[in-house]
Amino acid sequence: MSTEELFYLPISEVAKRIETKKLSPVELTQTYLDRATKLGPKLNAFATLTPELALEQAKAAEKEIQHGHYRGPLHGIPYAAKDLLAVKGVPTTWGAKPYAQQIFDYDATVIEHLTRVGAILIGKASMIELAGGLGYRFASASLQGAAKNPWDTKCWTCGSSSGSGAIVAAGLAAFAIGTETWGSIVCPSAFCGISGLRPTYGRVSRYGAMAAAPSMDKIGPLARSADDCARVFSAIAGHDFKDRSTVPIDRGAFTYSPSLDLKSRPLKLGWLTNAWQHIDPAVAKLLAAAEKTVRKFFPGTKSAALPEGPFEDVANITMNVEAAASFRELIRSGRVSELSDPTSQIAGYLNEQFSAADYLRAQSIREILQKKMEAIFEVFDVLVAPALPIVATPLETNLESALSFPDPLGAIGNLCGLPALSVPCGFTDKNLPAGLQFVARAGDDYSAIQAGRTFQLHTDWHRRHPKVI
Amino acid sequence: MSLEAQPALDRIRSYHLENGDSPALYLKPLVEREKKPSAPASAGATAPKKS
Repeated sequence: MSTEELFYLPISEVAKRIETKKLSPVELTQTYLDRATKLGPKLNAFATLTPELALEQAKAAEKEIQHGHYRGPLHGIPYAAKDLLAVKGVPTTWGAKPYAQQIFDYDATVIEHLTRVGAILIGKASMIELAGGLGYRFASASLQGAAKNPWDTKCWTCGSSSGSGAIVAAGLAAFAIGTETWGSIVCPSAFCGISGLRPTYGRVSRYGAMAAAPSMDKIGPLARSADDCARVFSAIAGHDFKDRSTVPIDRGAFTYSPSLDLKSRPLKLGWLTNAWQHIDPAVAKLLAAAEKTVRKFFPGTKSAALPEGPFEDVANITMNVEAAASFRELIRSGRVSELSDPTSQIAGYLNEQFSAADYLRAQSIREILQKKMEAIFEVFDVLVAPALPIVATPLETNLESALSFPDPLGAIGNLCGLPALSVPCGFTDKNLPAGLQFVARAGDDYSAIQAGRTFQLHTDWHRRHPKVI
Repeated sequence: MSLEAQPALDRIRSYHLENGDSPALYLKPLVEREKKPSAPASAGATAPKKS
């Protein structure tokens, strides 16, 4: 096997080699660091590399494994974390100039969990400034510059977990941690041809993570497959007394075993007919094939429709008002003017003007929406739809025009805290990936993973990788 | 930007609400979901995990 292939192996394969001592965590980490040092800057993928920490963790992992203390499938596995997660003593810039020198003296809970299972942090992934909390119009709205898509470096990876997407697609780490308030895990997964899990709201602690819109922010993995996502998710999920928004202790943890029978409970799938108003013809062709696969391996799949209402408006006002509160100090101090995108510089002032009455009315509509979605999930276990109706856009695209199409599923999924798994479902003639998303009821992350795993059992799109030079 | 925000506010203000539609905790349905089957804890179990 070539070293190149090693970078794209699923976690399960790498773990097997590490556990049987055929692969040294130190050598693996050094190889990844070398690759990240060489290719990371070409893609604007990393905010910071952490070679000293990584090698220290790798040496400790190697020593433990040599002494027979194997911690599990993430032991010795290199990963990257979005640069809004606190890592003790390492810069955490939130992708934004005003926070370029910010250093925390503690680890985010997600980082703690991953350290505990022996994963190796090789760096912080670049991101859109403030995770897009104050809006942005261009891919370049990041302290690290526009993240370039490994499938075509003239294209974007999508945001705001833009570096996380580039890192996984280019094989610069075995997996990466991203976050989503609205679209920031699903979109980079689709644009980069990788798998990404947006967990149920409250399933993963956000202690130590930058807050954008606290009632919608979620943390999840981007990886090579649904199986890999599940392995990472099982390590980071769980109640956290330091984050009161996490679900209760008996519902937080996620126990995953790949040997669980995928057919143990036949899933009832609903193919959404109104997730997107217009689908790019190149993507539509791939989706037609994906739909055939879905219907073949999930017999009984029926058409389904999202409820209609002003749900995108509700998601927008929720995000805007909460982000204005999250970044109040930045806005009031005037330092918001240091952000790179003109939209981000002024949006906060406007968002502060929304009234509490309108915000609360939006939350009432959100309550109604949650009931409507509960009714849909009485009929279906999983809803399926294109992750996005387009493929990766050129780096210089004005996102206000090219990515401003209606996204009711994104709004509904994030307002209701629904888990979603995006998996690659084909490549266009220009060799750009398209994604398919599986959305389940809140708390039922397993069904989204089960559907994604089944799809990937019968397709090989997730095994493809770009030629990165 | 204000002009762009106004139609969204109009739609939110005109959406019909009943007296009982006041906002609850954000994800109330999640913590109330008692009626769904629970998940298996280990490999070989017969039903998928729920939580």
